[in-house]
Amino acid sequence: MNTEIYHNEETYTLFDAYFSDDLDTEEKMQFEQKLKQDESFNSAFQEYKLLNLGIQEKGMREMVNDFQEELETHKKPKNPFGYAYAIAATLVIITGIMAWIIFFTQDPAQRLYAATFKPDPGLPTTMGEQSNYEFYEGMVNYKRAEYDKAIERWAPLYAQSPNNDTLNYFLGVANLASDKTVEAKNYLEHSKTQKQSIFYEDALYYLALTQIKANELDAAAKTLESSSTEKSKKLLEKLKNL
Amino acid sequence: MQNDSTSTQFKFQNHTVALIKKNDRATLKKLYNQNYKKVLRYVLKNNGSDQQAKDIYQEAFLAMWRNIKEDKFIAQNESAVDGYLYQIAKNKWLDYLRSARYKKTTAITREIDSNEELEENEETYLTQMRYVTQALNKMGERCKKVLQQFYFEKKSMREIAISLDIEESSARNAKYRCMEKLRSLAQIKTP
Repeated sequence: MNTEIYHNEETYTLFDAYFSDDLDTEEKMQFEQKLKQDESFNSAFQEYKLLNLGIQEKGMREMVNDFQEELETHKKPKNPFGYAYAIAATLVIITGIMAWIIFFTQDPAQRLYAATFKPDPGLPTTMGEQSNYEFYEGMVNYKRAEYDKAIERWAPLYAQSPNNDTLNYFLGVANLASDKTVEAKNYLEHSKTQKQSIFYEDALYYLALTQIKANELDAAAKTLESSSTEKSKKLLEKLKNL
Repeated sequence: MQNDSTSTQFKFQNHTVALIKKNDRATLKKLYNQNYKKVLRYVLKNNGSDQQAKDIYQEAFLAMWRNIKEDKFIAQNESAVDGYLYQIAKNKWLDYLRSARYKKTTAITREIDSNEELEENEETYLTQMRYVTQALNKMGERCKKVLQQFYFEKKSMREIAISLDIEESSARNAKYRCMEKLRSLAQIKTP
């Protein structure tokens, strides 16, 4: 059967319209009449229909494969580490609950310390002077919360320059951050004498926190009273309300 | 005036069946998901494996979709579609069990008598579909995209033109040329 005369854009558009039920009653009737009377037209339409259905069949098979894949993905953990993530998440929750319990069973001074203490953010570490190299390496450790490593680097420098206010101050805060209250207090008490230092006010604040941690609340109040910064005033207020 | 039940059926006809005919992804996915486990259980209970259940179910799902599109099955409500899909899957599995490997040793009763002529027609139809699919696989990405969007996703020529960043008339012409290319590659001969 020669169907070539019907393989043109216009006829395909007509086939599309009939197949999607977009023809009006009159047009539909004429179309169906032609299907009956014109074998070539009918044959061309049958070919078109198979192509149309074939395209849909392929699309449908791909869609069904997607559905199956999605069903199976939902059943299994997304990757072999799925269980590890679940365990890690459980541990995080347990740790959180424990921290919560510890926080609320602490005495009020310890609770105030825990809620307030945040280490000084540290100094920029972009300087490259040879003489300061060890100090800034220590600062890198400090910023990574590797306080013991920072103390290890800074302690020999401090031995050489015990009046260096920067070293003194950061050694105090690093010791406090690693729970070495006695050492922290020694450094920060020394900072208290360096009234010209740019770290003076901050040193008072951290000294007060060290005293709160050591349950020396009267001494902490006195230290805070000698400071004029806003954060010291706030801490003093909280301390008085304990 | 319609009673409640007729009205519900009417509503179903106008929505779900229309959406199935339009290849609506969300509707088909819902049907697929809600019937899979039942078929899986049936196949596993009747000497089949997970993989066999999956293959049978996918073939049954496609058969259900084809028959609804061609109005060979008139669904009155959604549970009728579920029941129909399950019945096709069950029959397909029973047919498989009746195949050469099993028929000498196992007596199996099929709930719906098979219609050999219908099955032969289905086989011919599926062979033709395979030709078209193979031909489509040989075509360029642009043609595949135009044909897929128009005939399967039921997008308008305007939407297709926008997605290809061309004029609507060019998109229409591209669709025609791609259909002609598909016809020559598939070499479908109708009686």
